[in-house]
Amino acid sequence: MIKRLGFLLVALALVAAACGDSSTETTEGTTATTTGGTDTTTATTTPTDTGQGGGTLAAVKARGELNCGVSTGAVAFTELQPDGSATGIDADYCRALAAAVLGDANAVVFFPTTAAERFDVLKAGDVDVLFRNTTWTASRDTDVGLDFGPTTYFDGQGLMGPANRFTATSGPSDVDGAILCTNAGTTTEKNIREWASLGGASITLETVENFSEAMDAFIAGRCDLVTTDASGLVGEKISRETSGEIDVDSWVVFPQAPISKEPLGPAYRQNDSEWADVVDWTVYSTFIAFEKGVNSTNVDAARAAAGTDAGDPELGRMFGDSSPEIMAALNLDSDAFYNVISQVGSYDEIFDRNLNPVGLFRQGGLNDLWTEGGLIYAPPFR
Amino acid sequence: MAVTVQKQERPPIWRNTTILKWVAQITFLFGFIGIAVVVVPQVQDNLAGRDITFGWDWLTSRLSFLIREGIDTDPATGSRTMLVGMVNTLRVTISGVIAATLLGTLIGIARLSNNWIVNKLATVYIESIRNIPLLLQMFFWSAISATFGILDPFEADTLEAGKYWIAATRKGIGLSWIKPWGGFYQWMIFIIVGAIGGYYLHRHRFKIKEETGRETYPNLSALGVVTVFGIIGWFIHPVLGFVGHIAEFFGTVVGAIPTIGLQLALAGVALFIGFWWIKGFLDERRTPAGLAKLTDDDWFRMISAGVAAVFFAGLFIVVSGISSTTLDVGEDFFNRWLAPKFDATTNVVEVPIDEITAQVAAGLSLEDIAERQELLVNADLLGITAADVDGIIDQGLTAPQVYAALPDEDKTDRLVFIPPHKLVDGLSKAQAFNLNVLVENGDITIAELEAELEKDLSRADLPMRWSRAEVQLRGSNFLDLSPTSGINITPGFFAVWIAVTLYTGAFIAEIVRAGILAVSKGQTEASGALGLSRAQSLRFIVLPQAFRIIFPPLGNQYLNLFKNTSLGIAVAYPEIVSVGFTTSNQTGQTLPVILFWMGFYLTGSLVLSSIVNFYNRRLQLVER
Repeated sequence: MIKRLGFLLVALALVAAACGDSSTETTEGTTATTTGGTDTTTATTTPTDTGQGGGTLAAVKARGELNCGVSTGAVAFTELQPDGSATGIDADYCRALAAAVLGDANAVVFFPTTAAERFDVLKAGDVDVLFRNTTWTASRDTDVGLDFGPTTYFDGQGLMGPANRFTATSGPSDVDGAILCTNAGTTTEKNIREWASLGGASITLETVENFSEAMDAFIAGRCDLVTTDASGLVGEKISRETSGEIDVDSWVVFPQAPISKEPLGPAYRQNDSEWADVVDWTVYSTFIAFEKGVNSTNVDAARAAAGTDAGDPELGRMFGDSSPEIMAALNLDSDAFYNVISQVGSYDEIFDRNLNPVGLFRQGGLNDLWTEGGLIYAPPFR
Repeated sequence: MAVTVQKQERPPIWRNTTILKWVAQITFLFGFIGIAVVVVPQVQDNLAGRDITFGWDWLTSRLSFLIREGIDTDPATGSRTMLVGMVNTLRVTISGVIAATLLGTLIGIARLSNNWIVNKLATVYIESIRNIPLLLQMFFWSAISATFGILDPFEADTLEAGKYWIAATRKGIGLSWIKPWGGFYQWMIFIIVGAIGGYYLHRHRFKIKEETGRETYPNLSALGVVTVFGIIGWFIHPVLGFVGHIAEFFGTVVGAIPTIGLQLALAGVALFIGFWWIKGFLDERRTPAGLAKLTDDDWFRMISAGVAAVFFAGLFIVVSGISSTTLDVGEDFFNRWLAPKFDATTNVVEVPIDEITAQVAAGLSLEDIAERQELLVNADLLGITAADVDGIIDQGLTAPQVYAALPDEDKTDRLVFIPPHKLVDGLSKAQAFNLNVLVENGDITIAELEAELEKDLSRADLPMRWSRAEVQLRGSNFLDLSPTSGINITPGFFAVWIAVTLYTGAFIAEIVRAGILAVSKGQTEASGALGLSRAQSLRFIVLPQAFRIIFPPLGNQYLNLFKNTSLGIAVAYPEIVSVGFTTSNQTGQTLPVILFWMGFYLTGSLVLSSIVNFYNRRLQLVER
């Protein structure tokens, strides 16, 4: 018995030693990690401290390409082309950002993401920014761990149904008992439930993976109505009317006042102010160009005019000619925003190019300039 | 010559197996803990660095999205949302396993048929189904369901509202079905008693048959007993209504147990099981000559058992939620679920028929009356008084909605409403819903309504009823399958179920065929020589032997089926993956949801395989 106890003691001593070692290691490991973490944070939150290259901006510049998260397909927002490029307002903003950061609007790799996976893709670092008709909400801004840039399209959720039973003024009482289709992982699922229960309507919600499947189910009669952002619904309707798949106005989008606010804009990883500034001011530069009436066709003349004494000082600053120190503080080339306007265009240009063909117009709506009663407003560039 | 007895030297420490074993065990244990201590903070750090949040708050908060089908289409909490998904997965898995087994067995036998056409058809089925990806098959069946009948009153070729034997529509398939009705649970007691009696009669008569060789028809007589009990019970089952009082009594008893009582009891049980196991272990080592020498392994086992027992005892004491939840669930089971099934509960408020017709004549809809009753019956749970009910009805709120709107601190952990089984004197909320459409459309006069209600009342106690599928008008002029008539299969369920059934069935068919072919030909020939027909030889000689071979691979196919249902997300079937996907996206909690999925599939697979292993052990020949 005593023998055994002796062995036990020896064994325990050995283990204690090993244990002590391992715990010291652990502490060291943890400290090291924490320090590493703090380093990264410092690097990303101090825009002037670019030498270390921890932030997204430096990563994009080093890569020479912008990884841009877009939709798998949303008419007029992101329409993927067979060659890997994309068109649409979201795709154009990806190109604008590439023009600002890399000087080449075509240095973009488009990453199609589903609604459900987009935030994980962004947080995992697979994409640098999301231009993916993403609604800015409080929980996404906080819980989900994202930051949002200026809204590029003010949208609202709507419903679409056959015109033989719904009108533009239909309301919750008209959808009582209906089956509605929508796609998973969006704000629409919550909005529609709240809207229906407030209006006293009981509905059945059929959730599919992608919006195109929701449209298929709607067309097949598996559900009575389909719901998503009004712009998406109008886009689907017009593109099908143009292709002759359905008769003109056989579907109707309602209600007139959207059932929710859906500000769509860029989203990027939290706590990366340097990158946030770049994304935000790229979007603002298109707003300012819109306000000043500058677009891709007259940008050279406008830049030359801004250089003169009589020129517009704000444009001069934006094109990097009169105060390059702002551009330097943004860590961008001094002609970054000139590249944006000349290669992609101003906000009205981008909007009209993509959204007018599907029947969405900015005039008189929320997406018009602030001087015209809309919400498109950029802070002063100075 | 002197014999030198060599002194037994103790081996050096590094070759002493006792020490080495203990050191190895302890090192391994601490190594494992050490790795955990290093890895967990590292993972947490990395997650925080990427702004990926990790938490379980979503299990108790309201996620606020609707689910297409399941036990609750508007779940109040995240955990309940996941529960709906899990139940949906299990629904399609269990029905799929049963159907695939039947189908596979038939096809497997058909492949061995002497009938050329049957044989070749079975071959074609197996070869084509097995070689097409399951996902494509789901898409195929989903597309097929989009060609069924239209349900839209504004379309010319729509299905009219009415009853159908089978209503295959684009919004789902309605099948006529036998449904348990008011007296079902009372009747089931008769059936169970009959089945127990039948079992003993079967055993008795079978014994006589084996001993004397006299034909005693054991199967037939057992069936006879069950039938007789079933017939008698069909008519006199209401006498068993008192069972509800017993259930209520149990509910009261369970509700009266203090949490600390159950905590101590559970801790005691844990310690007892540990002690009992160690005692049994020592008894096993006891020989007539006394306790055998215990090896180091034996010590490890006993120490682990003791530690585990103490751990669980401590867990039950420290985490009081385990005990209080158990008590709540137990009380709900008896009081809120079981007792109302026997209709002996006192807190169901019923309305006489003449009052219903008077209220309908006064402009109240039947649905309102039923919903009113639901509010009254659950008034305590909802914290309202009878006087509040009218106001709530005016706001168009239902009992579940009132509950959902309660402040969190007023909510009990229980979400079980007294089931609207017989809210209105024999009229369920569901029936009220059906009749209501007729009343609202003016298709039914008050007198006819009264007759209808009386008819329903007279049938309210039937144990089972034949229920036909029904297409009904709903809400503002939409057509849909009635949720209460027949059974409804949504397009999503249809696509998943039929795809996994056909797919797994093809594999099972091949397993069955292999099992039958593995029984040696001599067995068939011998049974032929004994004068058994081909069917008899299959039933008595071949299949029992084949089954032993078939069973293990069959279990694997069941596991495959279970896991394959996760493809349901592609055809809009709200199973656990689909529901979890939406949950993780609405809450941003990807990692916890993935852990939840893994836990669910792991648990499900382990349970399924342990069931299969259990039967497999029982089936195998005892070999010595």
